[in-house]
Amino acid sequence: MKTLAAYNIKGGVGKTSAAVNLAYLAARDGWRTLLWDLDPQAAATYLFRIRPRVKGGGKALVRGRRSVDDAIKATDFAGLDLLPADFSYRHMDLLLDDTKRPTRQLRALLKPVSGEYDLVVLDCPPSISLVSENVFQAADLLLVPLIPTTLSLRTFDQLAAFVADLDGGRPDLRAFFSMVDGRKRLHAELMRALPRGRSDILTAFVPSATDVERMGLTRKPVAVSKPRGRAAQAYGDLWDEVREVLS
Amino acid sequence: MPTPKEFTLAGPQHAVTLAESTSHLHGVLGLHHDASHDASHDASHDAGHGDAIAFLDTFDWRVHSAGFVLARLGDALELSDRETGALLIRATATGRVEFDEDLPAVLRDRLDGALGVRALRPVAAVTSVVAVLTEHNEDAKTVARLVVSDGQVDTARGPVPLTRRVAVVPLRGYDRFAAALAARVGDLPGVEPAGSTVFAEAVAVTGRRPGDYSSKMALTLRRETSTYDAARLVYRTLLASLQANESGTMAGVDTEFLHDFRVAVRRTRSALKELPGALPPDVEQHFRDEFRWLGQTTTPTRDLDVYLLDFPSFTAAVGSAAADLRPLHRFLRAEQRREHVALRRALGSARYRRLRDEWSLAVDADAPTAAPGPAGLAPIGRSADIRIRKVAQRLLRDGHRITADSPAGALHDLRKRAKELRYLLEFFGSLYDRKPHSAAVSELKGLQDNLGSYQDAQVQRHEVEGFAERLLSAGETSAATLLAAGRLVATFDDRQRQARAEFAERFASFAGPRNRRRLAELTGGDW
Repeated sequence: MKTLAAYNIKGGVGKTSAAVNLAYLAARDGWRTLLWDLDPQAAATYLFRIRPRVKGGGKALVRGRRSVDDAIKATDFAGLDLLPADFSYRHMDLLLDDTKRPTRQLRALLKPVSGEYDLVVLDCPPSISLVSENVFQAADLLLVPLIPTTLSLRTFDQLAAFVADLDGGRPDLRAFFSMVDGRKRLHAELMRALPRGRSDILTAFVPSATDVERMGLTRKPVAVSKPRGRAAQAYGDLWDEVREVLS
Repeated sequence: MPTPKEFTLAGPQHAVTLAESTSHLHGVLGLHHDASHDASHDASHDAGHGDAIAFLDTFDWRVHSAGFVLARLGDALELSDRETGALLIRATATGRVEFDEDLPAVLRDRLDGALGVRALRPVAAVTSVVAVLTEHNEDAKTVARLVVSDGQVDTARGPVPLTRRVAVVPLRGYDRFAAALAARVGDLPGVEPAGSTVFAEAVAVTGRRPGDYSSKMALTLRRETSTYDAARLVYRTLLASLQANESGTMAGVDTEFLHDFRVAVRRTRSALKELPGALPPDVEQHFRDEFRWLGQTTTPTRDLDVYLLDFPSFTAAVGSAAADLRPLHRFLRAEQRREHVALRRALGSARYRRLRDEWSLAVDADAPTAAPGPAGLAPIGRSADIRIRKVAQRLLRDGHRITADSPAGALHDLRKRAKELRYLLEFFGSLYDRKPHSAAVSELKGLQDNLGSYQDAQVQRHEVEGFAERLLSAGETSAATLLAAGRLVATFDDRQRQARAEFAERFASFAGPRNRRRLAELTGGDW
């Protein structure tokens, strides 16, 4: 089982859209996939029309009173299941801190279902916290959506330095440009000016597109709602690259 | 993974189309028609339009015996529970899947060596057309699926339709909706709970039945049946086994076809020898000769098969010199292929066909061409007692004569006696009490195993020496290969010595008072 985490310190950068669409594409590709919506805002859960509720909340999961297995819900798509968000996830840090190995809990919680899935996608809350440290420990690949600005690149490099200093198995780290606006000169210039051979930034990028914004209305992955659209194409390319890194 | 609940729809399929059925269910159940799922194939019960499921098993149903059903859908292999139909494992397999080593690791682990050396073959191929209806909750989230499917099995006579099926497929975390939907579906007129799985129905269409082939003899005889009738039943059963393995042997699907083919030949020869006079003596003599020919014809290929099957243990035995054995392996492979061609020719010959067809007529159930022989009218109970006693006592006598100085040939002869006794015990098992019978068989088996490993080591040693000479004379060998062959000979020597050392103990157990009492209990007489 591989674990892919969509992560950024900042919110509103296209993290959930990436998690949802990549999870869908992986499942369509035959990977048995579980998407875990760790964000108490529950956007990914909402997009799959699933109720954002886990019986007993995050506490029951972390304390082992309820197994992850019991909380999993099937999405409408073959091979794709979801572990829903719960509003109690906002206290996840406190819950994790209360355990024996606070940075490795997430990894341990996923163990019982590791035989059932080929891929777990974590949709992470935007923060740097004990939850994110857990994510870094659990993930094989940390995928970071970046809006093409100088500042966000700098933050990404800081994250890379932080991850490099982690104890134990470090995840692979990759960024991709997200919400790219073709009309903004800055976006184009920054992407052009990237040093060639920066292998930690993927080639595929996701445009700022109506199809993505409309996901809140259609409540479907873009590859389902608008399979021939630019956004669907972009996530397809992104999945191809991500799959390569994971394999 | 959740298990679908399956129903069948009454009535002939051609009277109502799949679309009409679907539309009817759609209406009465108030479901949604999900066109995006039509022709999808996310489980073996809802294969898509034109998509094929091939159910795989070995010729002797090893997957089924282990409690599973294995299906191939495109690049996916699915292992399900045989009884409940629950999907246990789905794994990707792009290439050819024939032997245990071709399976993805998760499946190999689960099957845990059940396949042995046997090859997986399609036992039934089903293509289906499906329509999918979905039940939604107030968020328009799918909470249960209904899959209506028309399957057909590809057979030599053309496609044969299966019963139209309706499966209620639960979604994880929403099981209660599926349970409620299944209850509603079950209440509809014309809908019946499915009495069998698609697998069972499809296999039945092909004319086969899980477990319909086993190399084990399972005859039911009564003591008062005539020896003539009993012998013919034995012969017919063995002939059926021979014929069942014929095409697999010709095609070289796996080595067990030839193995079982030969077992049928050997058992037939043994019965012809040990039940003399059941048929007229001239008939028996003719078929003894012909079956001896058939046995001999198949020997070289089988010997090479055994060699190749054992090869991994040889390389393990010579350790670091394993690479030096590669030329020997290549040589054996080439020999095997050559001998197999010769075997195919023999099984395609007029002589073989004549043997098979004339024998079939001779021992026919209703109109046999062979009349009862001089001993044919005696009841089989008595005949079997006498023959088993005679062969067992001969085995005891000969076994007692074996000493540390006896030549290898003496042990070989003893092994043949043991085999004859084993066959007699197997043919006539139904005439005896189960408990002492199976205890006697297992005691005999212990002795046979010992004699078998002695003999195998003897043959293999002899053959390695022969191969080494041939490799040498063909100028195809290096000193390293010859040295490795030398080491191999030494390991055979060891095995043979070990088997010889264990012989006395095994034989003493077989010849001991306890087993003699058992044999006396079974067949009477003086022991």
